[in-house]
Amino acid sequence: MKPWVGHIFSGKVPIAPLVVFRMVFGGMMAISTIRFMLKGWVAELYIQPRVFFPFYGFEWVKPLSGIGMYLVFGLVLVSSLMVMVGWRYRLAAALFFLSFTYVELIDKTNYLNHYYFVSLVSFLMIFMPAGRHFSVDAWLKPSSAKQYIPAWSVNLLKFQLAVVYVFAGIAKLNGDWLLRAMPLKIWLPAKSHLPLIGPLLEEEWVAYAMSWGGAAYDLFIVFFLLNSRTRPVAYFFVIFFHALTALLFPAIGMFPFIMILSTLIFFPPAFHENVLNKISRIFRIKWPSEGSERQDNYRLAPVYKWLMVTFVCWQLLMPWRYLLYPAPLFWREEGYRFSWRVMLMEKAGYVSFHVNDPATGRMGQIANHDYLTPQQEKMVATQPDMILQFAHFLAGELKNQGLTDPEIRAESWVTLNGRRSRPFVDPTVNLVHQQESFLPKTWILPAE
Amino acid sequence: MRLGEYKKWAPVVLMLAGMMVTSCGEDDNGPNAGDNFDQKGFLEHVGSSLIVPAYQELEQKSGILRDKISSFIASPESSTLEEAKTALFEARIAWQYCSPYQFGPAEESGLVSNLNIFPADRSKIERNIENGSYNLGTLANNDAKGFAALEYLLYGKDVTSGEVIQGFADQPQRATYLQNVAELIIATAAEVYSAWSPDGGNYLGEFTSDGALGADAGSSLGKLVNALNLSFERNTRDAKIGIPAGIRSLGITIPEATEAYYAGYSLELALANVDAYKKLFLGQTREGVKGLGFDDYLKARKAATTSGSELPLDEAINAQFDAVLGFIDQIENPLDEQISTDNSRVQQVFAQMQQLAVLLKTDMASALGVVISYQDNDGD
Repeated sequence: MKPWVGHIFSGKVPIAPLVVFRMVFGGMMAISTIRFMLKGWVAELYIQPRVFFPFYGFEWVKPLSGIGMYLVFGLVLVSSLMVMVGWRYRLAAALFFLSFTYVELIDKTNYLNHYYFVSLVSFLMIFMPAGRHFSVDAWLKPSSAKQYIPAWSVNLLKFQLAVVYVFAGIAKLNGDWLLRAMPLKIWLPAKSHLPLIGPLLEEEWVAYAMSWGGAAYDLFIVFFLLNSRTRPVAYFFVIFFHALTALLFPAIGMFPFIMILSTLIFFPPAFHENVLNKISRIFRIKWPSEGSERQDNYRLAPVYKWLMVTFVCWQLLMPWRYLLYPAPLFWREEGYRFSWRVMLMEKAGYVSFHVNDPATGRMGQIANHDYLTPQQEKMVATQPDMILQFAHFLAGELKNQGLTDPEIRAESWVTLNGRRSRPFVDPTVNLVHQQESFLPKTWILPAE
Repeated sequence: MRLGEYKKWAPVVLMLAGMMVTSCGEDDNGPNAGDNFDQKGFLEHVGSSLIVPAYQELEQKSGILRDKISSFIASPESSTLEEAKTALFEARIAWQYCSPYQFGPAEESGLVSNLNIFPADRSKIERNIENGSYNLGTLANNDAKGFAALEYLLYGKDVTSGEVIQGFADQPQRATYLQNVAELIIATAAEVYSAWSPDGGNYLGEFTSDGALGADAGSSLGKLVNALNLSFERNTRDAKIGIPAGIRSLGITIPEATEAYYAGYSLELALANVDAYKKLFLGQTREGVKGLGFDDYLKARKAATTSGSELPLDEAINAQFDAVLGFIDQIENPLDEQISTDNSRVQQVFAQMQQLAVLLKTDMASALGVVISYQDNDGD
């Protein structure tokens, strides 16, 4: 191994950045969870729906009934607070990862890139010594405390953030985004009532400038954050960019704040030590003298090493898997998720499910809202895998109603980035006989 | 970063800038933002020239309906019955022009539930009358009140006018029920009109306020577009046409589910209703005076005119409205008989309405940046 590679993994670095990250992450997750519960989304998204759309391969993941889902969210909340204060840290991180990820796997309707980000980061944090300082654990057992940690943990978090930004940037390098300023040309004028910047948002050049600026920001911001000389300016841009997105697109919820605070990991240890000292002073915490630093072995255990290498490769490859499918990606959405494609397209659709009972020759259409929540209806209309899942669900329902071999076909119209809506899937194909797989779906119609 | 590193990026930046300049110069057929649209003016026009007059008309016609029903009860004879029937028809036409606006006060007052749930449940109505004790405010009585209930009571099923009049004479509590239903209609209609009226609750002021501009879920535009879509799909396409034609019941038709099954003027109601949506789209008053409408909004956004042969979106939607109206004209009153004799033409109306729903819900909403969701949620 070359020396610098070794340094990235097992170099000795102060623990402070990781500790601040732990507290910030735990705190934000606690706030997000409380917000989620206060908005009534636990019932709305996980208890009330009649149908759920699990991910391919995770069909065995089912929601708990009634109070059970509240207990799960209670667990998410408690474990995030435990992570924040560093109490039973590793157990807490594992519980948080498991409970949070369980919730996300229940229904892909609610998939958000930043939920995926949270799952990934919390998974990584299980393996990190983030509870070894400035924590309840270190308070209770000073001998376990550490001042220094191997560099891989902090570097892995930086890597994860870099992946989010750079791939989000690469995803913007497409014709619609760069050459038609789509979808910003639709989204920005819709905000033209805002004070001060409002009138600007109706200008076409502003949509172009923000498309290009946004792409450049995503592509390059990490490199400026890594460099100590450009870091202060870069962080100013981080705040500016995410504050702007929060203002323009309030629907993206907590994401801007998570990114603004997570990128603090790029700041040097001295900054984080300062933060910890300030917190100590404010809360008048007196830390017991922590065990003098032993000569720790910072070399990574092989099992961890391979786990991390696998993780990094997976992160680098996942966003490219779309290349294995027919184009265009935004239309077909095969290999679209888990790739940091954030706020990238304006896509809306309408789908009706036609039922045919060959035994009687009777035909009809499904009223989607009898089964789906408005959010699910919206997602099903534009995502082929969800169209197929719902068709299979309907087949089951109809069989329960006594139809022996119902045929279900989807008639759907989709508009993408301001183009006129077009038929989306083949209305002649009986979806009951189509199976979900990683293979391309032959029944998606061409985009133009 | 050292100066040398900046230099490294210089070609990239220059290339990006260059592409940007050339792309701006290109003649792009895609939608162009940049034309300012007076959204406030649009909301003011729709609010004060379409919505408030529609509710005012509904209140007025519902008042006349109540009065005519009182006259009929006071002297139950053929002439007063006919006047009550006429008043009912006119109030129902007035309702059709309110149906796209089921948000805000209308939603809070439960206007649809009190006025226009159909088909009415005959046996439930008869049971209520028989028992004499009923609460019209309950959810369970939604299909035992409103215009459809009045229609059943005034027209009856398979009976002559004389028999209807005799029925009221024989059963005094029947008249009370009729009166109660009519009172609930006028009370609710008056409540909603007053809530919208600048002299009352002034929801109009809220609807057109600066804080309600934009296209987010809570904005006036967001509410209007979501409400018109929800109402068009469920109350117009499904309730008036789809459900009776058996679309939602695997082809088993339900002629009795038509809107005016006893009176036989379902098609007039459907035509007025589609006309209401078309006028809203065009920003036209009932008298046909044109102001800012969704068509102008779409024009200003130069929405979705990507491929050469297609009509611009505003014209395409207008044409689709005419197609729907044309296909309704092809079928004959009473709708229930048309369904029983030649349902395929009714199914065609449904198909045309479906196409209109696609344009309104996907293309129009998308072009205006309105999120279609009756649910609050994060997105990305």
